[in-house]
Amino acid sequence: MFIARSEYEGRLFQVEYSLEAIKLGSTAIGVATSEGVILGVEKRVTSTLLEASSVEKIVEIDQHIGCAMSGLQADARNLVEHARVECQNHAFHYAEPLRVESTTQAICDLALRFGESGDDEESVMSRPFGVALLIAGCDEDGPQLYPSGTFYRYDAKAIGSGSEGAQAELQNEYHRSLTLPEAETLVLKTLKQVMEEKLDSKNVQLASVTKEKGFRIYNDEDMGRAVAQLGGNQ
Amino acid sequence: MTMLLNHASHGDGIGYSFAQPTAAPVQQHSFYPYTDNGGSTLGITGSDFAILAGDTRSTSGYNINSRMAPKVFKIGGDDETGEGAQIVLSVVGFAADGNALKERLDNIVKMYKYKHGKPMSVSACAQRLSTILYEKRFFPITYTRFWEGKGALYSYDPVGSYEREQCRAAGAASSLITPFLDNQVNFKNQYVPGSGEGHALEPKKAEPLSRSTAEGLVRDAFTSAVERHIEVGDYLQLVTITKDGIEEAFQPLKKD
Amino acid sequence: MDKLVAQYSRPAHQNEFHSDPEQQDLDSGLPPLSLKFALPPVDNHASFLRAMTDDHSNPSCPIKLAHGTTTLAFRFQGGIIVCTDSRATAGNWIASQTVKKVIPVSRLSRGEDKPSKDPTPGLLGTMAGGAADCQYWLRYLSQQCTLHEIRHKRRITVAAASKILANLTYAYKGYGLSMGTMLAGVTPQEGPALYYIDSDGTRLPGNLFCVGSGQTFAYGVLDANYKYDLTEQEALDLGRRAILAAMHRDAYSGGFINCYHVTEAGWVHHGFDDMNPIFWKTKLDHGEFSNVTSEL
Repeated sequence: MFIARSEYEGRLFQVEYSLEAIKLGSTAIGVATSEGVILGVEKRVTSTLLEASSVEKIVEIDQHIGCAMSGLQADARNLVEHARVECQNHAFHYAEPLRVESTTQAICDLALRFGESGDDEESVMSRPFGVALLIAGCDEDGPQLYPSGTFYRYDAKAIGSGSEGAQAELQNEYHRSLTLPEAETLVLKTLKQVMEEKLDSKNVQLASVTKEKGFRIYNDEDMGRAVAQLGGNQ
Repeated sequence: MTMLLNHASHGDGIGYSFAQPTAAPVQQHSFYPYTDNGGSTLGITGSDFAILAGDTRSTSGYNINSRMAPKVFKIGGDDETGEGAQIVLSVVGFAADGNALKERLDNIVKMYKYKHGKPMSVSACAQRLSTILYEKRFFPITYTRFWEGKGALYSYDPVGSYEREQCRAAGAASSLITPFLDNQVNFKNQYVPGSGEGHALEPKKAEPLSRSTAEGLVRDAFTSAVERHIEVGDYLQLVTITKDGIEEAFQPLKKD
Repeated sequence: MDKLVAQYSRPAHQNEFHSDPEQQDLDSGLPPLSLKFALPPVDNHASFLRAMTDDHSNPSCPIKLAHGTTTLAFRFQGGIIVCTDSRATAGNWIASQTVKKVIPVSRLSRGEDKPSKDPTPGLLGTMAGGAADCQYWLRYLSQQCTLHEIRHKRRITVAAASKILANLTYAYKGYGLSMGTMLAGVTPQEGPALYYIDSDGTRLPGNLFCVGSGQTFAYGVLDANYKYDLTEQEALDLGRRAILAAMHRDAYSGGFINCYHVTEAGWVHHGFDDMNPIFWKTKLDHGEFSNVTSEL
């Protein structure tokens, strides 16, 4: 019924639609440095009645991996839950953390299970996921950043509605010797340029993944410090 | 061979503490899928090497069926030559189960490398073997087995409990070899001469063995075991793992 | 389509627990037994397994599993003390004298535990009965607790963790699992909490438990000297002394005394010590075990 039909020019409409869904999502940015990876998202606090702390767009996958999302949150929940279970299953069987690349691979495997199922496959979704993820982690290969979908490894990557402008900004500003605080500032600065609202410590969220501390989401105090840092630099 | 009807110890003599279901077909009483193929295996580790050794005799009851049936396997290497392997597995008990286990683990180690782009570490493989064994919790495959790689030795019970150790002997002659290892590797019941009288005597501290000492102990353990155990003999397979790779050697043992 | 309607028209409570197969797959909770574990091709698995592995009813059984133990744990004002022996026996044969019978129920992705003076966050489980059963299912429990922690952003309570384990042993009841385990942890919600769970599906909260073939001997010492107000050092010494008594009188217990202290920050390891020097020290310095002669 829901075949991923190939139309003219070989484009798969269903996939195109899901890519469109992602373009509507809030902007998320990741920057990898030699010290660790910084993830940042805009929260889009659309109402003064909305409790900003309940908007959760950066989540923990495992101690050493975190992920930022853009697009349909409900779809992201599915992918994240899958990734968490994969990480724990790996740790169960191999007594070691799952590598970041393998985690990304596991997410991508699930993301491809749409359309009609084969005879012996588990039932799958009728449509592709309408969400993009930025997966940040640290393993024996150091800090790494992968977007979901086509998974190439990036030094810095933006997804969501402001991704085009943000990616161009990252292209200009990124260099390999960035420190972690510099990366924080770069992420916030880039977010500020593409956000419609005025950036403050309530409508953005940062998280870091480092070798020593693993995944750590910034609390109010850390956010205040990072945003103040941004103001001081300009 | 594996379906022994009225096997000596499993006829009517089993002391069940609960009533047997009367509906069960009579045949099932004698479902006995295990054979002991005898033999012994032994592992010792030092600071930068590990040795796994086993005899190569294969027995079934009082019959010696083969004099060259090695029980130490290289895992994760080339199918024919074993080249490239980092991990060694040895299995005693029912050889068919042992071979099946070896192939299962070999597949998993190879698939791991393709999937994660790095060779499996010894600690990862140790944990994986434990869960493989536990999958058969309700239908255990036989006897003790253990294995090792690069300077680490892990031993297992038939359903997957495992422990990292300095040395371990398993199989038919384990009760002959283990006390020898306790004394010579862990220095159990050895004291520092002249350190005191009576309760003041200071126990000798165990320290890592050199490779030549360890190899000597393995050879002595097996030549002694051959003297006193009917299921051990023919050849000694000695596999040494160092950071440079795996060396394998066969040495003759007595043939009676 | 009918399937779809059926899925959403069931009474709401049916979706709450275990009834939704998709949710179960996602949690990888308990897949049907046949998927995960091989079963022998006979009608009565339990009696087959017993015939092959129970060395008590059949001393010449072909597969001997490791058994025999003394483990204890008790609550006191400063947290919980967990002590065990380290002997594993298969029939009369001492299979190992260095078994680690205290199993951390902490995050698995840490990799191998490194020795540390700082507390490691998590709970502790103990091992009595089948070594593989305890190692495997406490590891499974660690996995579930870690997932709980990641999903809910706070540590699991000991009550919840012990319930996961008890549900599991109850589900596998009659298959021949053999485990008697204690789960110890200190959480902000519960304070120090201690549960006993076994392979029959029993789950009991309590102040003080001894489990294993040497339990009676350990209870004797523990009951005589236990107070809730013990200091940390007194509590550690009492735990060790109770294990020592069990090692002395129970042939299936021996080896090394393994001691842990659990606080809200996590657990700290307090040594894996050979019983022999401790025994002689207890006798010669404190005058206990006077039935044993010290003359050479």
